[in-house]
Amino acid sequence: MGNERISTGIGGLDALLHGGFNRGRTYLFAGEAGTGKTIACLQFVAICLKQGDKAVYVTVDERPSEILDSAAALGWNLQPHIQEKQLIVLDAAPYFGTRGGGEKGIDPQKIVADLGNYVRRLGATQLIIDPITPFILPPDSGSPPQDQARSLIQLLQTQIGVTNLFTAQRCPDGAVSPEVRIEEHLAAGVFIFKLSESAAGCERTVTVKKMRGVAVAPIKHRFTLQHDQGIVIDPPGSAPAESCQPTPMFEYFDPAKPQN
Amino acid sequence: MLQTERVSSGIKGLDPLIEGGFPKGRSILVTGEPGTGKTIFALQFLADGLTHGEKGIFVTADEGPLDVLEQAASLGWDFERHVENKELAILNAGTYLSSLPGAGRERQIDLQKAVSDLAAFVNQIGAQRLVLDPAGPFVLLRDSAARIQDQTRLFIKLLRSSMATTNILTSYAVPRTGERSMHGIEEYMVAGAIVLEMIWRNDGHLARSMIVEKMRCTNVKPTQLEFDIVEHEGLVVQPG
Repeated sequence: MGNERISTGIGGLDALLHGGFNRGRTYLFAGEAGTGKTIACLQFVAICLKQGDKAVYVTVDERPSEILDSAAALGWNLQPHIQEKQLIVLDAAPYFGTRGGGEKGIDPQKIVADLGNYVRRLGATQLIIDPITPFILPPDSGSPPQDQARSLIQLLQTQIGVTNLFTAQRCPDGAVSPEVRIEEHLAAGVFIFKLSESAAGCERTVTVKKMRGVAVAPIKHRFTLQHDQGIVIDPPGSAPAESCQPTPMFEYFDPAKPQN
Repeated sequence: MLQTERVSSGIKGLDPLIEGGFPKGRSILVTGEPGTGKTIFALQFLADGLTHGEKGIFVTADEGPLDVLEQAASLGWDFERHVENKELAILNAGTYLSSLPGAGRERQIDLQKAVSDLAAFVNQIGAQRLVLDPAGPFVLLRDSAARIQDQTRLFIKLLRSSMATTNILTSYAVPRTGERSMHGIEEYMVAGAIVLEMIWRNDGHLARSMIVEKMRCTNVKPTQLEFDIVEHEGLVVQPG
């Protein structure tokens, strides 16, 4: 025990991690919005379900239906797994009052007890929280985020004991507040997702920043998003990924051009 | 002696009350609830510049560029012609801002990049006047008010150091409960602050009011000015 590996669902990534995540540990996918964190989570869920594991997926920013739609768009139909009680998608938005719910304080004990109930009832072995940030950075909590993050992650590990996968919003470079990265210290593995502009256009990359028990080289691994496969890491030495055009911050208005 | 260079506001009746205009190269905050005239104030500031041969940039966040042109046209200002003549640029930040996920909860804007992108446009057309309507979305985050202040301070500083334009920033206001700071832009960070309001007059009529709460380097009497919105003129301050 202790060293049993579980596939991340991302082929090229497992190879870098000597087989995948360690069961029962906590992993973090960090990155700016739109860098592929949620897709990576869904991909992990899909492989777990395929291998007969059960999972609890907690979503905050998107509704459960949107999560299922995203998965379906990538070719993973998760709906039957929900019906067969292999997957639960929980909507945590009401906790944070983001969609009209009440504003409540964040109590790690209660969160973990609630999540523990869902995990046990389902017999889940994986817990995904996408994103973890609002749980550890509540807007007006008295306790420092550090303590909040530590107690939440420790409680999750001791009281639930499943493999945890969290996502965290990461600020663009140059505007980083130190507290955003606390959760990185507490996870057994940290993966940084990035969308960067290069001469050839945009490229998506993932960097294994930290992985307990595995010597990883801090290399940016380019990847592409593909239907039915999700994240596919480019083989080393391949050409840059296909280009894309990010939304400009300020669109120049040209009256001569037709408007939509 | 060091004399503050002035930029005319374009608002009839206002300049004489503020020693000729806004301090040049600084940011002026115009707050007011919807419908109080903030956008017209900003358009008028640009229209005034255009009549003096000063080029301008209007950054719109809530409305589309066509709406902006339409509103200017309704006041009798042919901004479309100025856009065609490259004397005025309308920049739409709405697409970018609405593409940020989390609807304000997790949005984080790289202000350095925002201001350097803006400065590129300013330099390209040689603008001397800049409007951000509204400026709030650039500095509003889901975080604490303290972070918003930091963000605002950085934004105003960057605007000042990166370009020589005189800037109008509009912002929503809440009624006077002392909580206006929650709306993002702290008055003490800008060189001038003007509040637009609707008030009930003693005679029972609703009137438009303007208070110059702050104007650096300017001796302003804090009085409530009444103004009208007049076609072809925009805001017109009533003689006290």
